[in-house]
Order: sequence, then C-alpha cells, then structure tokens
Amino acid sequence: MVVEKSIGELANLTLDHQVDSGNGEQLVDITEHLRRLTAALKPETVVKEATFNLFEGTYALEVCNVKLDTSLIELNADELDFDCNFPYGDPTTGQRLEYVTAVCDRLCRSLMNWLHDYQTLPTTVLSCRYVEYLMELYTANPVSSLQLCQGLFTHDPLYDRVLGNFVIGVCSFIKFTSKVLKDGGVYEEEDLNCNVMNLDMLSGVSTEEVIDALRSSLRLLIESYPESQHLQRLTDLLIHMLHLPKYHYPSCQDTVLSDLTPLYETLDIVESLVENGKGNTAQYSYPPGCFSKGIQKRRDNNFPPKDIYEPKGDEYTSLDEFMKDIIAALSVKECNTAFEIRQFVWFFNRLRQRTVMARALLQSYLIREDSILGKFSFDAFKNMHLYEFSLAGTTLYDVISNKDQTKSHESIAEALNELSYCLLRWYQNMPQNACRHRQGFNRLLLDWDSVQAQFEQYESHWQSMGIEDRITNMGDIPLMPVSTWIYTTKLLMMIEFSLEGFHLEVYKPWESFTQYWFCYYLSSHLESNLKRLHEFLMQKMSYISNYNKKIKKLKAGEKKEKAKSHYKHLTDVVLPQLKINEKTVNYYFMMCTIVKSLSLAQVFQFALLKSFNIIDARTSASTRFSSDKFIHDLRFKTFSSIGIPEVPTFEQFQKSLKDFLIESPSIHSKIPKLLSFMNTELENAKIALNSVIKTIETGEAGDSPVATGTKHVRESALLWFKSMLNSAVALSVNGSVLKTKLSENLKLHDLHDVYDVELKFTPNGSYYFPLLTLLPKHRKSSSQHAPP
Amino acid sequence: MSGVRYTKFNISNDVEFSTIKKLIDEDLSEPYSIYVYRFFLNQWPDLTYLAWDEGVDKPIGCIVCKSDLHNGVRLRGYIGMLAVEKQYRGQGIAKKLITLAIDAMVEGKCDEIMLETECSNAAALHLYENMAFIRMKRLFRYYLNQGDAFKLILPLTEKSCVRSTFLSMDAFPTNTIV
Repeated sequence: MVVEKSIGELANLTLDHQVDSGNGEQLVDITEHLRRLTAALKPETVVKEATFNLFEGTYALEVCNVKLDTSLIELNADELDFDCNFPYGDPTTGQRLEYVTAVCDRLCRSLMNWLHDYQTLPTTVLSCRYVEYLMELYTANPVSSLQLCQGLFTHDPLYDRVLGNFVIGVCSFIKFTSKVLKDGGVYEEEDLNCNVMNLDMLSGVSTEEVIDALRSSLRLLIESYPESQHLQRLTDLLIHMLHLPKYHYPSCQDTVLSDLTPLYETLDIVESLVENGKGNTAQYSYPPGCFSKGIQKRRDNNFPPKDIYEPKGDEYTSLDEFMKDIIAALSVKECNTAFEIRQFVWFFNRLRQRTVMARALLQSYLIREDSILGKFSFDAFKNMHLYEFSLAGTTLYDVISNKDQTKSHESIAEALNELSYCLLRWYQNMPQNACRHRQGFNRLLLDWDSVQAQFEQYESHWQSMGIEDRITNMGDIPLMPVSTWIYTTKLLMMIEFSLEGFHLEVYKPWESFTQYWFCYYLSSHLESNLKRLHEFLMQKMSYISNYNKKIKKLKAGEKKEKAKSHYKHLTDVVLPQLKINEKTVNYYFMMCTIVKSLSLAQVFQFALLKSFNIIDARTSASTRFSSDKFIHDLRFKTFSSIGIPEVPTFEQFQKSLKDFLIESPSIHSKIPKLLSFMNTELENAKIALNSVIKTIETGEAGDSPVATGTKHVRESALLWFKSMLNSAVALSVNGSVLKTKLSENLKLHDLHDVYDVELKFTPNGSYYFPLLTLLPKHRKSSSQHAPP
Repeated sequence: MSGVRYTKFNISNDVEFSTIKKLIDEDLSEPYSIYVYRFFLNQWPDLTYLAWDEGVDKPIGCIVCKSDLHNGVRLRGYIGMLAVEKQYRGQGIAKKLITLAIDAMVEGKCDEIMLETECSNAAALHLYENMAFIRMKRLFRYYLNQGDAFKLILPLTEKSCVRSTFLSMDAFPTNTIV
C-alpha cells in the first residue's frame, strides 16, 4: 500500500521552520511531522515509491538484519590493520617466502573451491586482501597494460613481483571464466557464480601480458629463491592454466588451439602438486588477516553475508579432475562423423557430471559461430546426421545431391534446413547439468514433435513428386527417411526424459511401473521404426549386389557404360555407407533390447509386489484435493501433446498392470514362473550389453556387426554400459531377494502392512534402474540412498 | 492436536506479522528480508494461516502462500513458507495448516499448487507427498546452501496437466473437478 498522501505532505514542506546547523546550512526540522505521519500509519502500510513493485523488493537486502546486512560483519584487529604494502614476515628466516607461498597456494586452492566445489568468489578468491587491493586499484584506473598498473609497494620483490603477478594471473583467469559464462552454455548461479563485486578484472590487459609477467616471476624465483620449489610449481601451474582461453572459441575465434600439449603439461604439474601437497593445507601460514570477509563489508554486495570457505585439502585432486575433464571435452575434435560427434556428446556428461568449465568449453569448441568444430556448416552437419542414418541410398538423397539446381532440390534443401535448429538445440542440451538436461528435453520434445508432423507432410508431398523409396518386403510402405530420423531422435529423447527421472529421484516407487512400462512401450515403437529402416537398408544393399547382373544383360554401348559407371558409384560410395548405417541401426536395436528388457524386468518386479498388495501404481496419498487421473496426467504432461506414438491413458496403464499380476490360489507357487520370464529378459539385456561392451573394447573391428561410434569417448561409454550390465545382474538378484522375503510370509497374500518399498541405487549400477527394495513397515531408512 | 486453534492472518496485527517473521527466520535455511514477508503478507493476507496453542499469545506455526496467473494460462497457488515451533512438531499442525491453505486456494479457483523444498528435507517431502503432491523436477543448486530442490505440484484441475502452450483461458473451464 502506498502512502502517497503522506509522501505528498512531506514533499510540500516549506522552509518555514528553518534551523541553522551551525555551519551555515539551512536545514528543515521534520521530526514532528514525521512522528505525526508515522503514528497514523497502519501496520499493513508499506511506504514506498509508487513505481516500486513489492516483487522487486524480494531481491533486496535488509539493512540492520544480521543475516542480510554485510555492513554488520565484524572484523578483527588483524583484518582491520592489514596493509597490502607492508612486507609481512621476518626477512632473515625465510618467513616472507613462506607467507607468499601460502597466499599463492591458497589462491590456487580457492580457484578450485570456486570452480569445482561451487563456492562463490567473495568467499574464496576475493577474500584475499591482495586480490581486493590490486583489483580496487585497477578498477579505479583500468589501464590497458600491466606496465601502467599500480602494484604492491612493499620493496620486497617476493611481494611486489611474485605475489603481485600471481594475483594478476588469478584475476586474469577469473576474467576468462566470466567470459565463458557470458558466452552461454552453462547457467549463472547454479553452475557457476561469477560475482566479482563490481571489480574490474583486468578488462584491458591481455592474457599474453599476464603470462609474460608470471614467467618473469618464475625466472626470479629460480634465480634468487632456491627454496621456492612449491611456489615455482604454483606459478608454472598458473601460466599453464592461462592457456585455457586459447581453447575457448569465442575468445580467440579462428586461432582456437587444437594442440592439447599445454593441457597435458598442466596435468603433469598438478600431479606433482598432488604428490607434494598431500592435502596439507596447513603446511604454510599466512600473514594474519590476509583472508577475510572484509570485502563483503566494504564492496557493493547483492548477497547476504557468508563465511569464507576454508580449503579442505583435496583441491589439487579436484584440479586434476578439472583438467582431465577439459582434455576429455576437447577430444571432441577427433570426431569425424556425425554419429561419432553425437555419441561423444551423449556419453561425455553421462555417468558423472563433468566440471562446469569442461561442459562450457565442449559447447563453445563444438558449436562455433557458423560451424561445427570449424569443419562442417550447420546445414552440412544436419545432412551428415541424416545421411549416416537413413538418407544414404535414397531417392531423396539423389535429389539433394543432384548438382543441377532444380526447383525441387531448392525447396527440399530449404525444408531440411529447418532441422538444423532442432539439432543444435539437442547438442546444446547435452552438456547441461543433469537437472537442466532433463528439463531441456521437456522443451525440445515440443520442437521435435512439431518437425516430425511437418516432415511427414513434406515427405508425403515429395512422394507425390516421385521422390520416394518403398520397402518391398513390408507391403511397399514408404521409408520417409527424414521423418524416420526425426522419429528415432524423438523416441530416444522421450525414453531418456523418463529414465532421467529415476536418476534425479523425481519418482516415488509407486510411479516406477508406469515409467518403466512407458519406456518399454517407447522402445517397442523405436524398434518397429528401426525395423523399417533396417529392411530398407537390406533391400538397397541387395539391389546393389544384384545390379551387376543387370549390367551383364545389357548390350555394349553407351547405356551399358553409364550403368557401369553408376554401379561403380554404388559399390564405391553408397554400399559402404549403407553397411555403416546398418551397423548403426544394429547399435540402436541393441539399445532397444537393453531398455526394453531392463524396463520389463522392473515391470515384473513391480507386478510381483503389487500381487501381494505391497505397492500400487497409484499414489497411496490422500486424493482429497486431486485425483489419480490428474496426478497421472500431470506426470505425463511433457508428453501430453505428442502425436506419435500415442501416449497411453491412465486407464490403459492400470489395465496393463493387471496383465502382469499373479493371483491366489497358490500365489507363492506362481512366483518362479514370473521370475523366470524376468530372467529371460535380463539374459537378453546381458547378451546385448556384452556385445556392445566387446565391440567398444576391441576398437570396433571392421567385421563387427555393430557400430557404437564411441571411439573418442571410450572410457565413459564403457563405464556406462558396464553400469547397465551391473544393473541387469542386480535386478536378477533382487528378484530372488523379493521372492525370499515374500516367502517368509507363506500364509499371507496381502503384505501391505508388512513391507514398504524404496527405490535404491545399486553400487556401480545404472542410475536409470534403481531396485525396488522391500523394507519392514515403519522401519524405513531416514534418507534415500545417494545416487552413484 | 487438541487445544491448537487455527486462524487466518490478520494484517492489522503487528504481533502476528513479527511472529511469522520470527518463526520462519528461525526455521528456514534461506534468510528472507522484510520485503519478502511484505510481498506475501500484504498481497495475499487471506492465504496465510496461523496456529495458536491454548494459553500462548503468539502463533506457534504458520503457512504463507500466494496465488497468481502462471504463464498467463493457469492460476497457480504457491506455498512460500511453512514453519512450526520445534516443541510443537509431530502433532499434525503443519498438515492442518497446509490443508487450510489448500482449501483456501481451491476456493480461490487455483488450478494447481506448487512449492519447492530441499531434496534433503525428507520430512517435508513426506508431508507434501502424503497430500498427493508429486515431484515435477529437480533444481540444481537451488538454495544458497548449495542444496538441490524438488519442485512439487499438486494438480487441482485438468488445466494443471496440459502444457501452457496448448492452454488458453477460454478453452478450459476453471476448476473442472476438485
């Protein structure tokens, strides 16, 4: 509520009651007026500017609230008296070297606390007085060269040159990280907090100049301080870390580096730091008051007060992981085909969330201003995806690749270009943190469903123009290569969205039936789609094989020569691609088998528990305010607009569950048969998994029937499939455990009051398939098992 | 719990306002400014309820909510804060407060009710999930303490189950089934 009237009254005050302040200023005493007005205020009244929205106020900090007002932070005497221009430490005992080393060591650790442990800058790097001091100076005078910067002035080169340059190096790295964040790909706050407290982090100073300064520090240390090995290592580390901007495409455009040597050298330095540091953060002492909450009190701050973050000792191990993740991300440059790039991006951030810098660099390195990896235009990249899956050997491809620019060619190319946007969005979504990754699919599915509908129309139209391929052995149905690819991608996303819900612990145990049954259903649709494509590929390969016989029947002449030339093209270009595509399709077949079988095993186990009334595929919560159907429909809201495949209704899901149940009489005797069905499924999954694992381990030999495209993301892919294999084994064991527990109550067939169910992740198992685990009622564990 | 009575928040009562602030400040991990309280309590005083123990002149529990149009297509209720003094916990007071708030939001023709809670807060999750809220998504490092959150939703009408893109205010009757 606005007290506009009161504000108006205050504004209308005149200088009738002038008071002389004693220094000649004319003041107006409004005390009485203010008292009168405030006494008239009601408790609910908010005095505010008319244009000020209360919602904006929710972001405000509150003065005099100790939890929110950073000006109330109390500093001790050391913090208050700290002088950045005083050379702390006894010069005769080596204490100064110890102090400087300690500050630099902590700054390196603080970088990891910030970037790897998700802490904020004010509680880590910016809590260092030297950082605050030097950046305050730079902010006041943002020059374009270090030569013009004011530095430390202690008259001790250890402080003035070595520490001063080290701080500059750390701040330059922060500047680079801010740029990475600004260029997108990761999320401010949740992925990375880049609050520099309005300090200018060397905006005008080039990284090269900073590296040169650090190199001069290193020379000084080597020449004049033989005892400074640790400090030398730290300086060398920082020099190497400042090479990272060279791998950030938006920072250096066409000069972006592809040689990873400097990064491998960084790893060597980190390794020696891990060896020598041994996690000891207390081996050096700092000048007293050097790290402080003071910056939060002194500088502009939009955040509540927060204690500074003390390094835990594992920072160099984190740095090792940080650098390895970056090297792994940049290895994407080795990929040559669309399928390899697709697989790289799919597996890279899969089993473990990669460090934020690696995720951001992957995106910027892969998706550049106008190309993929600087090798393929966006449209070419999209065409590669199509070609390497369903477009090779089709009439549509012949039209697209026809050099005579016909009108139909142009309109088809234009239509296909609409797909590039969807494809890039898919790529941008994959390196996101796990929560955003799933949420991204929620939006992507709208786009992909829409382009599928659009392309089914386009391809029907193209068929009417004679641009078509039919599958003879399947009743002459049309292939529709573009729609086939879109549908495959969409179905894979739908499956992933559903299964990611288990990873993120979004589902309760009672929801697992619908989710796994839905995944089984989607995989079956995917399998049918792939069968169509597989049949086409076989038909086309057979056609090419038999083409030679046709040529032999032709009479010598121009027609025969033309046919021979066409045959050569078919055997040299088309057939090899069709063979590769068949292997890719075989890989997806195996993915279908794995997801179908593991999902079905979960469905069997759920049905077993449902048969004993331990669980139901609907909430046991009060539905006073809602209904089972609303709850179900809300859960499937993401898919509510999907046209194909038709999403089963709540009633259909409930009916499906009934088909799996076992019933009295002799309910216990029916368990082995149900588990036998389940184990058959799990064996199918294991066969497929072992086959994929073997293919990856043996480097995808030429005679392998499967192409996994994981050559450049081998370790991650292997771990992923092995986690699935572990889950297949664990599910089988879990089936037996459930049977044993159910058999403990042979006389009962309603165990609702005996057991509760929890979803538990298995060690080294897949987070897509947590186990339905029985717990005695009322003795439920207090928290869920942490995801692996 | 017998002896505990529940009232709607009285915006004209200073003590009620300051007690709500104190209850929440003591209980929640997020520090809220006075503006956050004013945002909720001044605009939606009817969606705040208090629990009082017999003979105690200050509230011992409270729930603070709001409701507004989400994406311009559905009315979304939101449970912003809920707190019960430690010594009164485990007596069903929070559940009663939630029930009163939901009733009020149903009355106000909300299509759904939403809230966020820390993934590690098993008690809160248990409480809301027993009232048919479901976890819609996980929010990475949502809180200042770096913790993830779950976004929970209780669907009250069919509108809650349809994507915003496909909803228009004219296409669906409000409050289809409650």
